Amino acid sequence: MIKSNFKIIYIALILGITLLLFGSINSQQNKIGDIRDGNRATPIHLLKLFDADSVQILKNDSLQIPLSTRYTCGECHSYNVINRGFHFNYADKKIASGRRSEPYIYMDWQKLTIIPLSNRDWKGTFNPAEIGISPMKFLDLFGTHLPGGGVGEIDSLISPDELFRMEVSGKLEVNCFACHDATRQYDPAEYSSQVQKQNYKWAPAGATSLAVVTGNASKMPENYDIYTPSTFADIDVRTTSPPAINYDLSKFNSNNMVFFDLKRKGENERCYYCHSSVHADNNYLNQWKSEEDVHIAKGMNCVDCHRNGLDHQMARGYRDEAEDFKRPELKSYTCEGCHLGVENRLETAGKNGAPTPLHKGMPNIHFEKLECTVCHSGNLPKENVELVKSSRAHKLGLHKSNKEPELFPHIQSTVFVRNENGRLEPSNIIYPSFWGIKKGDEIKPIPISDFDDSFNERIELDTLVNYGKWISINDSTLIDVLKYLNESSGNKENHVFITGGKVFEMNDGELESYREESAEYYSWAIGHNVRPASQSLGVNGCDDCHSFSSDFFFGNVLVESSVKSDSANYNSMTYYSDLNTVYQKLFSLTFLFRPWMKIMIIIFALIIIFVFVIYVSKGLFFITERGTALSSKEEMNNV
Amino acid sequence: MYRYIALIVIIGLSYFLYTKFKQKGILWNEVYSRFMDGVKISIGNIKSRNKSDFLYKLRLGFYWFTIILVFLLIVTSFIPVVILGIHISGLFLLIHVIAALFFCFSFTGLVLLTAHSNKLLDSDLINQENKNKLYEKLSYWCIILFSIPAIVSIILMLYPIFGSEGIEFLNDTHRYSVLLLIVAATINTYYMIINNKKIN
Repeated sequence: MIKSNFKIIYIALILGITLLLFGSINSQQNKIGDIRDGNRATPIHLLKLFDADSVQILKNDSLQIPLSTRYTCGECHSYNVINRGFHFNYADKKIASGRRSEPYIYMDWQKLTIIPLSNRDWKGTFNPAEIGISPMKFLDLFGTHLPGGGVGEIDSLISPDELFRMEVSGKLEVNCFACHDATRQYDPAEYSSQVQKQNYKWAPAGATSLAVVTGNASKMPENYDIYTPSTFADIDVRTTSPPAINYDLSKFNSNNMVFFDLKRKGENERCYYCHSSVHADNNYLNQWKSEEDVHIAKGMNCVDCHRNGLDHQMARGYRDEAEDFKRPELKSYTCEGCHLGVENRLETAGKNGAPTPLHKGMPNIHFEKLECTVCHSGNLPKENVELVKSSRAHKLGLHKSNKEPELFPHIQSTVFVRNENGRLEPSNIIYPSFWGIKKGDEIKPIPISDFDDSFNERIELDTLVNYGKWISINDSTLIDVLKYLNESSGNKENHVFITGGKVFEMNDGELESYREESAEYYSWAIGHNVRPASQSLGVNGCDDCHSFSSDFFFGNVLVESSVKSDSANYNSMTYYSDLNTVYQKLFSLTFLFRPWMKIMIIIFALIIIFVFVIYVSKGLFFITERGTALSSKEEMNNV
Repeated sequence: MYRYIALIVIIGLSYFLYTKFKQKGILWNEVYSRFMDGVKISIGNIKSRNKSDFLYKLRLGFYWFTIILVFLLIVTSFIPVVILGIHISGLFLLIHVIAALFFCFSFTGLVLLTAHSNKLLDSDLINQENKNKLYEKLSYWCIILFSIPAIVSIILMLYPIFGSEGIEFLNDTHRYSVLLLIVAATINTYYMIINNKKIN
């Protein structure tokens, strides 16, 4: 009897394992839209809509539910594969971080706080969780320019404290329309607006022309349920209303299918919503004065270089990307890959008609020490490095966005920073500013939830409104605040203030400041706008960089500090380029005399050649003369 | 590639000098004094040597100035390129560029003042005993021959005429010419020392 029971359990186990294996293999099978059949025409997307419970949405449903991209788009495309793509995997620790890029910048000017954040392992950034920013808080702060997925959707990343709120708002699924909607009616600002209202599950549909979304989930109670009217019976609809979606019913056909005008290759406009960068100067905000990236001007799209497959692992196009992600094919999507060919294999060169650069007269050492972008990308160097605004840092593109040129945070560009490979690259930089706790050599920001309500008053700001001017405090205020923070922790923790590249801390009752790595600037390389050869750095000759007052070497970078006694310091560009200022000045001097030097060397060379030719001619004459004389003598002897 | 060729050449030259001096029975502590005498004899043109002669002093001055500059040029280029395997940059480049200009000047002066004394003579060709003097003269003309591509390649690099590949070619031309120039200069110095022994 016992033996037969074991037999049954054994068979059941084998069956179970087989089913599990089959299920897992089955789940990894490609869906109909994952692989193309080779036809180069874009397939028509006439789709059934599905909600977040994978129930089909019908034209005549009495209660209209927002569509879910997971189930609507996921019907034909492997959503889970896409959801691990570059734009969505930022919180996945298993994925390589790659080169440092633009962080999410947490800013609270009343607390003098600017902190670069990233879930990726980028040196100089802090993980949002480290400063007490929960996933939902992260979406509140930065979700306007997030294309969904990641912390907005993955269960393991959602904080247990926010599960109920997430039930109200729904999950912020991957917004496929953000890139692939080819209509002019897609409104990314509307998507941002819906995210700001925590209408997460309504946001993708609300941004399309298919539906209009109203209401505000953030105002709903935690027990709010769209299927149960009693949960929102108490809501004062004069001030707010429950989130709702109204589909344009004319777009449904008789089979309850909706046509979506979708494109595999996202349009540039779609990328620009989250990836714009512009001079903060008012003059440049007038678009007619700004230039387009040369690739775009020539008719290319962002995704012609920043390509991806179904896995949505975008090619970022930087030099070491292939090694970082162990994908050798990425080498051919760098500047060199298209313009020179990978390791001189010409088949990768010339993609999209990329011309081969001549670089006439440019010593090859430049290609060892500089990234291509140094001469071809970013703003041309100026005496004082300029401010730029970016979509994500300054919430550009939102309805009623702040258009002040000097809006926080202050991102300086172009700064030429030496990267991990020892090459210079044009970069944007910001200086962090925050109140932190020092443990040993490590300094971490105080979690934002640890500040009590009275903190802002202690800083004694002389303004309640601020449109961009950097706020600074007196030493006495700083001492008071540091003392208060230390005392509030029972003097168990050593509180510091980081600003302007320095650490300020109390030491035996005295305020002291010093430079430290954790207080240093955060920089990220910029690749655009790419300028053509005729507008590149160096087109006017060596003097573009190698001159005594070169902005490339000696431009001024402002180190903004929140401490009055330490404010308005400037660093020379050589500080960021890790170069010696004296040496660069001396080397520049050699270019001052270079025209004369060239003439002198030519004269010397001509003299040497002249002497050589004369004496070699003489020598040849001598040899032939002696040869003839000797021959004649021998002949005479013979006679 | 150049790095390894240069190292082989340097080791080869050192081995050549070592074996030759050993064969000729020249002790290492004699080399310096023989070299000094060889310089004075070669530069001074023994038959008309007059220590108060202005041209003699000028020739000697140019010679030593050129030697110092060659030493500087070798150090600033071989350390980064041959030893470290990188392009010349930083302080090495700064010194190399400045030294190169003065080298061109002093080398031209030296060529102008010594070319005539190194012309081929009947005795060099006919007299077998003067074989070493012939080699000394030939190596002298080889120095001038290799200096021409070494200088011209740099001049061409200073103008926006050639693209990256052209500049790489010119760079190689410069490097290999200099290497050959060093071989010729070493052989020339060797024969100066050897010939000096004979005279003594």
